Amino acid sequence: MTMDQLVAPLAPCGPGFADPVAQSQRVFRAIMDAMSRPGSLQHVDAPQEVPEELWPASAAVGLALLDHDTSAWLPLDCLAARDWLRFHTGCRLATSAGDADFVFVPLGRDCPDFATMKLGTDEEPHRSAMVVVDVAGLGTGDAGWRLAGPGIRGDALLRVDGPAREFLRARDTVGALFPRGVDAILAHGSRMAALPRTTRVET
Amino acid sequence: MSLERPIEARQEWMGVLARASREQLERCWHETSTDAPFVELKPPETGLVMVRARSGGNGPQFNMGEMTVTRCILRGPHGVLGHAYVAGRDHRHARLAAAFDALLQLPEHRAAIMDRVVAPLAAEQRRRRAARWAAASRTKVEFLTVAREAG
Repeated sequence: MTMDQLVAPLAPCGPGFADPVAQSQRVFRAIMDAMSRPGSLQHVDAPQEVPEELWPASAAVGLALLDHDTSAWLPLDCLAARDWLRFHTGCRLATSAGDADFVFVPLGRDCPDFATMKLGTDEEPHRSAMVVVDVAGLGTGDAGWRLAGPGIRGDALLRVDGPAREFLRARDTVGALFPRGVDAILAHGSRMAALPRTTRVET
Repeated sequence: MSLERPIEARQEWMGVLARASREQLERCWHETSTDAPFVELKPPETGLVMVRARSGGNGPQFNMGEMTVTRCILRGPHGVLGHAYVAGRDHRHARLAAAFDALLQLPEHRAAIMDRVVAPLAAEQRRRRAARWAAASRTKVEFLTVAREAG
C-alpha cells in the first residue's frame, strides 16, 4: 500500500443537513404529524446534497431516524444512497429487507414483499419495519385513494402516482395480521405522506 | 514519519494536529494560504467519548471517564476526506485539523505541510512532553514491599 492509496475512497457523498440538530428535529416532527394525520402532506427540510437514487424527503427521513442502533435496507446497486446514509447516520446496512428496521424503495424499484419484512409481534407490534417508498407524484385533492381510520376525520383523499397499485397489493398481504404490520411513508420531492398500518385504503 | 506505513503516518499527523493548539494551527493555516475548496460533510459537533483504560497498563479494562471531543469531516480538493477528532469544544480547531488532514493526503501538498506544519508541531510537542516527564519523574516514589517472614 502506498501513501496515495489513502486517497482511494473518494468522497462518494455530499453533505447532509446544514444544521443537523434543528433540521433532524423538524423532520422528526413532520414524520410525527404525517403519522398522526394519515394522508396529510408534510413538507420536510431537504439535506444540502441528496444521493441520486432518493427523493430529498426520503433522504431527510433517513437522516432523522437512522442511527448506529438501526439497520436500513436499500437495493444493493443503489451505491450512492447506501454510502450516503451509512456515512451520515452510522446505520447498519441489512443484507435482506427482512432484517431491516427501515426499508427504502427508490423510484421505479420493486417494493419487497411486506410479508417478508419485520412485522413485530402481537405483544410488541412496534418492533416492526418502516418502509419509505419514493413515488412519481403525491397530492391531495378530489381524486385518488380514499383513506379512513384513526387520525382521519371522515375520510381523506390522497393521490399517488407511480407504483401505487403494486405498493397497495404488497401492503394488503399483511393487513389481516394487525396489530402486526408495517408503517409506510410515501415520498415525492421534498414532500411526504404517511400510511400507518391502521389506515384503510379504498381505491 | 514513514511513507511506507500510510495508516500509521496518518494516525501520527492526526494526533499532532489534535494536540496542537488552535492558535498554532491558525497561524500555520494562514502561512499555508491555500485556496483549496472545502465542503463541510459533517460540520463540527461536540460530544462525549468514554475513555477506557487498563489498571496498571495491562490489567482488566475499566471506564476511566468521559471526555469532551469535537469531530469534523471536510471534503477537500479531488474529493479527499479530511477527518479530525480533537479534545475540547473548539469547532475552529476541529475544522483546521480536518482541513490539514485532507491536504496531507494529497501528494502535491503533503511534503510542504509535513515540513512547515506537522514536523515543527511534533517537535514542540515532544519537547513539552519530555519536560513534563522530567518534572514528574523527580517526584517518583518507589514502593517496596518487604515480605513478612513465614512462621
